[in-house]
Amino acid sequence: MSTTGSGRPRLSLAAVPHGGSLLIIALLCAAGWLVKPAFLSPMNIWAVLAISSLLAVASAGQTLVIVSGNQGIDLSVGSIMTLSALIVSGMAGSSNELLPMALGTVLVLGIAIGLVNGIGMRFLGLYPLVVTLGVSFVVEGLALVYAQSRAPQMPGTLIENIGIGRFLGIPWLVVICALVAVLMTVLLRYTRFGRQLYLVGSNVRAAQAAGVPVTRVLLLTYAASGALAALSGVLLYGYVASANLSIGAPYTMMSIAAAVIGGAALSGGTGTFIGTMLGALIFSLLTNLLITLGLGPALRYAISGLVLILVLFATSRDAN
Amino acid sequence: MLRPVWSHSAFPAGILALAALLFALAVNPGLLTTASMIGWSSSQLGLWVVVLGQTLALMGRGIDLSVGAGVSFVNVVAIALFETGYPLSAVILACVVLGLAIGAANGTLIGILRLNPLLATFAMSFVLLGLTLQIRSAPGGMAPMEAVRFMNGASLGIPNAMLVFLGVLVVWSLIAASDFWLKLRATGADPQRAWNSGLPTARLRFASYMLGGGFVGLSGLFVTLCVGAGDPLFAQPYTLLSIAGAVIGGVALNGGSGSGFGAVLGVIFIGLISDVALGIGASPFWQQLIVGCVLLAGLAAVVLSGGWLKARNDRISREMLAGGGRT
Amino acid sequence: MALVLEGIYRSFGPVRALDGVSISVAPGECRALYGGNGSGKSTMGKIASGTLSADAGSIRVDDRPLAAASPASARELGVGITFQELSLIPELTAGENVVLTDLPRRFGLLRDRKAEAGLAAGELRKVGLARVADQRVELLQTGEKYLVELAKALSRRPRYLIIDELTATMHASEVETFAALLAEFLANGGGAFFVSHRLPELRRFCDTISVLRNGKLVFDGRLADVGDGELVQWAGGGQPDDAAAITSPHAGKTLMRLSGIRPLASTPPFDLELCAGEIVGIGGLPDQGQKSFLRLIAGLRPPRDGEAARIGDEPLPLGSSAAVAAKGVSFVSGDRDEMVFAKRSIRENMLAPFVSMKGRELPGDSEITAALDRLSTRHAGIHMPIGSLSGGNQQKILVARCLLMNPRLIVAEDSTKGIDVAARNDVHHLLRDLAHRQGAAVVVTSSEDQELAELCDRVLVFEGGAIIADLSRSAGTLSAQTIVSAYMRQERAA
Repeated sequence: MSTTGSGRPRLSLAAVPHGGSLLIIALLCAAGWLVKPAFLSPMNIWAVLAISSLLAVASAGQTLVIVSGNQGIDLSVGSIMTLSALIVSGMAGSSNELLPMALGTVLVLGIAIGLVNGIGMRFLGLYPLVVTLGVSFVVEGLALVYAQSRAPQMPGTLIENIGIGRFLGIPWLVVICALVAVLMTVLLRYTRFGRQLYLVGSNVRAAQAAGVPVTRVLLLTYAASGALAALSGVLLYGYVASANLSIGAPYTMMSIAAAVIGGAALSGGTGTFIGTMLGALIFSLLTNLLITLGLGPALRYAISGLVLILVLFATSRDAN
Repeated sequence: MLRPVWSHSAFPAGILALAALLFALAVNPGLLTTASMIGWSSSQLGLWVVVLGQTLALMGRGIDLSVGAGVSFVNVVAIALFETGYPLSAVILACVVLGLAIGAANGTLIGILRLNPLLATFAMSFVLLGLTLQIRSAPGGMAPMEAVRFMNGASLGIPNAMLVFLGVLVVWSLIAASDFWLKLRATGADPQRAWNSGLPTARLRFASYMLGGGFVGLSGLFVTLCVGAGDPLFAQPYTLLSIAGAVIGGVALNGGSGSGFGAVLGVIFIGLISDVALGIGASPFWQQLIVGCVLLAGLAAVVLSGGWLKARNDRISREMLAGGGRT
Repeated sequence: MALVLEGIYRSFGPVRALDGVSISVAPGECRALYGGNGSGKSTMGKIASGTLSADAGSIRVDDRPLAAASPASARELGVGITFQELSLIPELTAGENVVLTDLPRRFGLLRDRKAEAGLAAGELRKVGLARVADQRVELLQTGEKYLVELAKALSRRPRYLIIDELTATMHASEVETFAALLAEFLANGGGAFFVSHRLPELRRFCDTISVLRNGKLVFDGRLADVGDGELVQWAGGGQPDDAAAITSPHAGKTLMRLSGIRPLASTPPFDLELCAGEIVGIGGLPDQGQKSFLRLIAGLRPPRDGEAARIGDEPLPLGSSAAVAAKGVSFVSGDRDEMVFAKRSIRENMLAPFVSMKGRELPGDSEITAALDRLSTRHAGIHMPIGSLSGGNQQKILVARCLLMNPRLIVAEDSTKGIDVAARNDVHHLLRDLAHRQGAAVVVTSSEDQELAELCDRVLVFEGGAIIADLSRSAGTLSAQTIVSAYMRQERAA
């Protein structure tokens, strides 16, 4: 007990990183296989991985914001995704040449919206829930106005390829998600910003006292969340191959659920992107399983709600 | 000791609602005619009632993301019951009981099982949405004509929907005057200390969600009777609108302070700015952007002015305390 | 007839906080519950009041068992507690807080405001605070809050009361109010556990004592039978701190020049110089601008017009904690809510100030371990969350962090708050080391004048944001007595 050494805690079964999530994934796979062996066919596995990659990328920014603590949550993710999909669709249309400019535009826009969130949260002292909710109303309004001025078009070959195509047999979405995973993990674990983020999220007053530039960290976090949401809006557009006004909406709460199932505490200061990816995979596997069972959308909603409650119960009960 | 009116948490919302009302009157002088008031109140009644349920959840440091889905669920169940031939009284009872049951389910997850309120009620909204769509996937059905006519009518020039809402407010005043309310405020302000003080915090939070569910049930009933039909998606925006309205009305997101009356003023403000946006002739496509911007500005204004007013009020109180201590 | 705790075990994660402890208190008895940091004394108090559950063991109140671990059921049996961290809801009024759990009702549902006000005023009058009944608790001063906490605990007419560090932040007059109430409570057949590690107060209020050490009961008997030396030994070893006699070889060189300083907005500005190798204490009555002064030089409070500082030859960029830290200023506070990253590891907590310093390498694990060993800090590996340690050990880790920083100036705000005598001595030795051997300047505050007199080379007494006395060890003007008389003279004159 009174050791003063620097020995790491001993490895036990409960201490396997993300043990709970991996167990749930295994159970869902087993259940799917029992219902229909084709559930574990390569085709279906790639399909589930692709859609969960999309959700994982959409949850990347959310993870950063939740880790940043101080009641951090980003309710504007879905609306930014919608706006971004509509703008790429409207600006680039089926042209591949105009795509980089469209991509640049939505990224800048995403960063700007994220900064508005960050400024409202940090300088005006608004709760993130409130400010991102208010901003999402505005962004939805922008989307509506934009959609009115330019009709959405079918995506060009490049973006469609990213949405549903493959690279060396692996869906592009999975490849992109893997890249994002590497970037996020390096960012969180090895950079100054990552260390500062965990400190700010764990205790903002202590971070201030330790000389962490809290304002800069928080603004960067919300800006990054906006940019990542804009990026995932583009991916979503490629995946669905069309854009409409409600395309991104479900992703707001799904991204929060993925991050929390993956171990990010809503109280801040803990969480990893690998965990969020597993959370996204759980969500996607579950939906896929329910479709395999032949359930209609109504019952799929109801059952995924119930299962989400079970998962929450298993993974994230509030302390005391 | 009488507190000045500007120190009340609902004061900024009152000012905003008043300003919006004057603005709305300026662009639409006919706003206060009985016919216009009937249309307005019967279309808003559901939101006015449900924000009280949201306020109960927020007061105990919770939040309820399932109110929109809950109102829709009660709505389609009520229509289904009418179509099966149940009388109005039975349906009224069923709506309230159903609402209380939804609230009890949320309360069990959050109060007893200690799940995170945001995520638990989000999951619950999925369950309710699924059940709603299972019962009715598209708008349709009919409520009894005489009830619908009553809700869209007026007595002595006052819309019946408003009179009904006055009745709801009387129920609310009883809650706000109860010892339960004070204990819930204590629990929301600081759950650990409330528990240390010997309060049954789990039961209190359970009760806050269950009672809030009662308002969800009433809201579902009123939506059914005002609209006269079942619509699985009509009330979905209520969730976020009720949160925004409550916050504008001075209800603290971290629990413990605010009032139901303020929350109602908050949603009235939101309803009015939509009217103003339409009244100034904005195209429906621009309407949401305008409403969104005003809403965001309203949220910022209320939170900022609320903080400033509280700081000012606290300073004055402290000075008075210090003065009293010396004499 | 007694409150009896028998064979209590309790663990927090891997740490065993209580290891089969049995204690009891009888009516009319005030028993001290004493021990060092992490000895388990506060845990024991919380278990007796139902706030925490025991892993094993029994609690009996006048022969009735406490079945469920909840404060509500403990209250039913007649056990009350005043919490060190308070159980008052800041947003409610003092009166509402006092009667919160037994609100008088009309029609079984509604609040009876009139009866409520009468009840609250009656209870608050006992602690002399009836006038604040309608004020929100967040507006009260610290000492007043603790008195309201006491009134709240007493309002339920408990037969047994657990008093956890209640008097630590009270003024002398408030302590007298408490003393009178305690005497009355005991005379009426109440029994009390007095949890504290302040020896003079233990001697004043208690007749019997139970001493805990590392979760075990090491002494149980009459307080008169044990001497202070023994008590300190039990609290964690080591001798009582001797007043420092070493003078620093670095003393005399001016390290920091402050100008136009106004700790409170209403006071005239003053200038001040701080010397390398010197420990300067800031004393006086509570809330006289000490905190504001410390926070200014730590970069945690924006400077007022005209306030400026230079460290060495460079200006100190006040108003930015990051920039100030980069100039070699290290801040440590006894307010652990403001210092500790509870969810993160000990290592990350130690590294926190380095993370934001450009061009400075992070110290390695061996340096971290070495710094911790110098303060003989108990821990189960530097990758464990710091939140799993006792408050005192967390505090020592924060001070050890200053060692790693190699700072030019250390700003220590109440850095020994709530830690035991042995840990306090460790912290003092370290601060002296940093000042006298490494030539750092040290600025400290403390709520105990004795501590300032022991630790500091120079003490500035603040009153209303101004310096009213400048006492120094070398001039022979520094002692606890001179500090007290400096601010008491002002008090009497006012």
